[in-house]
Amino acid sequence: MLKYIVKRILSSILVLLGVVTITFFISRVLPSNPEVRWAGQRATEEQLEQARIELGLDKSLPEQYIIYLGDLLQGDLGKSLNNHQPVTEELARYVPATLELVILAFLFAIIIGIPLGIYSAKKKDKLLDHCSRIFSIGAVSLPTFWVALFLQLIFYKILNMLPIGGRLSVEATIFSDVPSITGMLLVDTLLTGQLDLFVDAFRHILLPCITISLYPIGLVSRMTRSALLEILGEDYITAGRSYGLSDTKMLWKYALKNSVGTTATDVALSMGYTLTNTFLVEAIFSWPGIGSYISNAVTTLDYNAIIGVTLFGAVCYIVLNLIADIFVASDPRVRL
Amino acid sequence: MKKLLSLVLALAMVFCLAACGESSGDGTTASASPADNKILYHTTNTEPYITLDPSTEYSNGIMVLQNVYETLTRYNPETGEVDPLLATEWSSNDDGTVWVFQLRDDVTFHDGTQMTSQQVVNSITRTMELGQGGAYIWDAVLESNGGKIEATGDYEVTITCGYPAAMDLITSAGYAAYIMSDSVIEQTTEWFNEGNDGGTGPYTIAQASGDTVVLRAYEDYRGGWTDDQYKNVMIRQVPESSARRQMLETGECQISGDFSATDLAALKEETDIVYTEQFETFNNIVMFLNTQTYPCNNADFRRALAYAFPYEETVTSILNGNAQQSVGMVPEGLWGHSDEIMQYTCDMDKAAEYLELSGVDPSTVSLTVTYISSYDEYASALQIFQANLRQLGIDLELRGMEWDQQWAQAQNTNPEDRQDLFVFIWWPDYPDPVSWFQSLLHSEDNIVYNLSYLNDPELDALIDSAISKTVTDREGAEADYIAAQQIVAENAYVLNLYDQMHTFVVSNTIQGVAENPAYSQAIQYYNVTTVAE
Repeated sequence: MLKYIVKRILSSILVLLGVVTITFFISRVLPSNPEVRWAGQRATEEQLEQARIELGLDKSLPEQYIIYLGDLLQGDLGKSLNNHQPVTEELARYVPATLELVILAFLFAIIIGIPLGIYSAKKKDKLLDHCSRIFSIGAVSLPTFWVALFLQLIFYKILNMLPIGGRLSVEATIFSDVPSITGMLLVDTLLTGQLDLFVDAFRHILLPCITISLYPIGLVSRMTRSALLEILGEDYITAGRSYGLSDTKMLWKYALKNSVGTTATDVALSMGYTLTNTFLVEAIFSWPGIGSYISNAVTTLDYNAIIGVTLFGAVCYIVLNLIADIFVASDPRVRL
Repeated sequence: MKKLLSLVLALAMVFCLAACGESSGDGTTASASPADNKILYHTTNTEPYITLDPSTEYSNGIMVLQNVYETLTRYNPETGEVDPLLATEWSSNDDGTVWVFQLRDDVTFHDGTQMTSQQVVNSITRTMELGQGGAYIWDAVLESNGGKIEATGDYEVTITCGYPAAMDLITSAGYAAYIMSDSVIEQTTEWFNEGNDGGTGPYTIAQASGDTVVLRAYEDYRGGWTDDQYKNVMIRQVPESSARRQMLETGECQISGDFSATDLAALKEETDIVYTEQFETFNNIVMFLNTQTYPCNNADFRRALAYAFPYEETVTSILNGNAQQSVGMVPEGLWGHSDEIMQYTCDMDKAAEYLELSGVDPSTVSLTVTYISSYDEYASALQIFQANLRQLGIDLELRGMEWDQQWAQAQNTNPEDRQDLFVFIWWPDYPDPVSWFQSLLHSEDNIVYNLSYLNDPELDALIDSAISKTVTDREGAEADYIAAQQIVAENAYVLNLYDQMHTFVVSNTIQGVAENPAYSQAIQYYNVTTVAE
């Protein structure tokens, strides 16, 4: 097992190196004027020359690459061309908001999706199964932006129950001492015991969270159902039943455990994907996460930021995939 | 496990339902007075700043900086002149190379220190040394150009320019002209971006987090505070137009702008909740015609293009009245503007007439226009232009690009590889028409912004003459600029498409929202007050 994990980590490092290399060279060969972005649109020739030196653009491409890799090993992703802020600091500021949103959305997905899949499998071809399947298909196929706007209209405009966006209310932002420990407000407010702020933050995260969780709820539900149905048809389940074990016991104790592996892999991959693809939901709910940072970096060809975000996405994807694989590999039936 | 799952689900549902109830206090302080707790909430569609460094910020940050920092002078759109702000008066020698500014003696920075001439000198020196953003406005003061800035008294600053420069206008710039405390002179951009400041303005920065800025009243501001003013201001990016609209409708925010046509039309109907305020800006959209290559090197062909552009349709249908057709290069309201300058209208008969005069066979012509792809309004206007040109048999390719790429192509060393037409927005960094003429129309050895690639000695002479007269003979300078604009229009070197207007939608509960065209996007929150019941 340990050998397997080490092997996977080493291959992951190679993948990351590949991602960095490809992104670095693509961003450098794209036609753009990073020095203009750095020094300002109306900079003089002297200012532009100074900018080229500061950005290392006066060096050859291989030299720039080696310097970048050296800096990267020290955790330095360079500075954003737009605001001259270190990309590492920018990521540290935006990532927790997205992480909090996505983790909660996937918790919702697991809490709602798995029971839905289980009951759907248990009541195969009954009314509950049909309803569950219609819901799952709807959840997977409804456009995110439509769901987001619909929820805003219902819960903010019509019912006036939940806020339309942001992470905290205006009053809390201005007058409260908002804690910043992990950057995840729900966690930080709990750690500091600020329950008022926790509720405020929870109210703000609900709508974007529901929007993001719809797809994984549908996915988890369908994956759980199909995996369970396959397992419920296997010989050991029939044997168990013939020994007089109840259907419920067979389902919860023997079938569900064996169906989790497939679902876990899909959830992990879906989560990795979602972490870097929340920009639409973040834009609609004014959620200051990595999504808005990505879209700004891409539209302005801020290449240090682009590489930083790409690297972040790749790390998330690889780590989550690794966790899922280790989880599956822990099953003694799986040969490594 | 089943029971545990049911319990977790039930608890989660109860908590969600509880959270859906209307929020109570949100942890606000109970001890502060009602005036202290009042919040002015302004939502924007873009981030409220790129950086908060008063020396280098050259973008949206003007929304914040205009309320936190002050400049020596300030442009007054009603008089068209600059008014005193941190300076009380100023004078220059005959040729505008030496300027003496007298300063107020009652100004304190947010750190409590008093403003003196040395801090003014240090602020401007910092900006010049950093050399970023709008710092180029101080070129005449650079030592390498023979200029210098010095404190010649406790409250007197003398600026010596290497060549004549309108320092009274330059010191009023919305970027790179802010005065800051000595305690922040050595600080980095990162430090400012953390929400620190060192200004003299009515507000200090209480929080800054990328999409949100919170401003808090500087209690010792020399103008004082009244109960109907707002001591807390929050500027937050809310990218979705429909979300900003709903926030105005529910009364959650009080100021917003940049709405989609549908949302703006709906808000205009809701007069019991909000009202709209429209302001002229000095931003104008221009189209450069590549005068160096075929077929735009033919004056009559350029005139044909000028008559084929859908000016009125762009202003009315695409921009819904949020603009007005330009007359000349200089927007209305700024000195150097004249309504007498020739302007084209969309007239397809005249376009056909000039096309014939040009002798250009349209079937052999395929033009390319480049524009910044993120501006949908450019694409919409250009699509109509494309359809109009098709009626003349001219093929036009629309190429939406990122600014960097658009500009890189325009500067290509091979003229044949450059675009035929180039659309972009221009605005002055301080209220002086020189910006349009020197940068966009004057001949230059290395192409920077002269993107019609002009080399017209008559035009150059007029521009040089106007610049030399700006300080000593403003009327003469104005006459030269008007004559220069007439030449540009008659030769269709550049098509002046439209001047932008900004529309704010404002809650009926407040008044005093205004935008000064010299400081586009910025609202002076100090002037915003509640409407008496």
